[in-house]
Amino acid sequence: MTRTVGFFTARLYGESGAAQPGTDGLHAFFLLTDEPEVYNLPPAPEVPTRGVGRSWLAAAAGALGMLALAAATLVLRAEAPR
Amino acid sequence: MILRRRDGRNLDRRVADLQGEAAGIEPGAAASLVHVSEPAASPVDTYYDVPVVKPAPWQWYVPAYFYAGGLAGAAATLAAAAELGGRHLLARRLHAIAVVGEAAGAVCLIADLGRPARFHYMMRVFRPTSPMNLGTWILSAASAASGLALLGGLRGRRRLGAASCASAITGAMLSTYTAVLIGNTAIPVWRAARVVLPGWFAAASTASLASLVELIGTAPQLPRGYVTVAKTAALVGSIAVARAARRAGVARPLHQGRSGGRWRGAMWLGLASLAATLLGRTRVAGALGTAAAVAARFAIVDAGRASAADPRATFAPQRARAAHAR
Repeated sequence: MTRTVGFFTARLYGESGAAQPGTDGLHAFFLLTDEPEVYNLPPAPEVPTRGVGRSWLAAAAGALGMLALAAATLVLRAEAPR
Repeated sequence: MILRRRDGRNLDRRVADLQGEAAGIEPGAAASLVHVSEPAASPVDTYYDVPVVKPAPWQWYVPAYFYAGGLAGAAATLAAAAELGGRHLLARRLHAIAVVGEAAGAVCLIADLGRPARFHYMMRVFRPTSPMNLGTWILSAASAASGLALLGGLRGRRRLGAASCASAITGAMLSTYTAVLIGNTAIPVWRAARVVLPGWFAAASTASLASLVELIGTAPQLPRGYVTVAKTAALVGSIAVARAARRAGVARPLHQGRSGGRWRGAMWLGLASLAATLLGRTRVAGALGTAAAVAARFAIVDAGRASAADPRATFAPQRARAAHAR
């Protein structure tokens, strides 16, 4: 409707999860007449903890690396003849 | 008791309406934030350079905690290995470092709360989706375990105990979870590096332990191999973090300004420390390495602050991601 009366760049922001991938919708929507950046809104916001699993996996790998380095230097050295 | 703070983290209701949760912004400063500069050249570039995301309102306690917690975690992991390898004096020293580091870290965290008297509220819930809540539990478990392990060692225990094992595992988690915590925020430079940050934190923690033991200087020392591998891994990790940030186009805080200076300084100090280790100058290597470890933690927190202040750093990766999805 807004577009038909001449606001060709008008859009709805945050309407639903489908329209705003990365979020489940913002539970509120804004009628913007230009790019979101013009209103200081992020163009494609994403819930920050989305994909936190990959970070935890990396943390587990880092922790295992620490344990492995510690074991390699002290346990193995103790078993090797001095 | 409620501590009145002068460092600006009490909510000022007069500016709360203007800027949301007013993390220490005086009314005058808030007004100047709203009209910062000339209109940008392109209208769709940014909104008058006003930041999109808020910086973390962290004082120096938080990077200090990253250092102390990482150091303590690395000490706990190595202590268990030392016990298993029969080096009891070294194990006891490492457990002592772990206990002191974890206690100092807990003090830093509590001091950084806006209302320190309410810190026990963190322990009222267990929420796996919140790295900060999990971290509270990890720190508590690690402190308890390494305290018990140290006590066992002081009472003459000669084999690997359950407390040492628990202390090693929770310690390794303590060194790395902070990277998950900062990586999964809206701060562009941290977010860009969220898969490589934990590895770097692990490496940086082992390097800070190696450097601290060198700096203390007296026997028992750590094996040279551990020190060399730890310091090299810390350097490689920081290069990986910078590369990830560059790939996302948000690496500017790692090159420019105060955070850039600290970041580069930490790299050169780390390199010099590695060289000093290889040349056998233990004390010098320890001092340089400790300075590098502390500088690196402050640099990454600073970089987050600078990154939050730059709206382009928020917009650019999102535009790229949206264009990629389309």
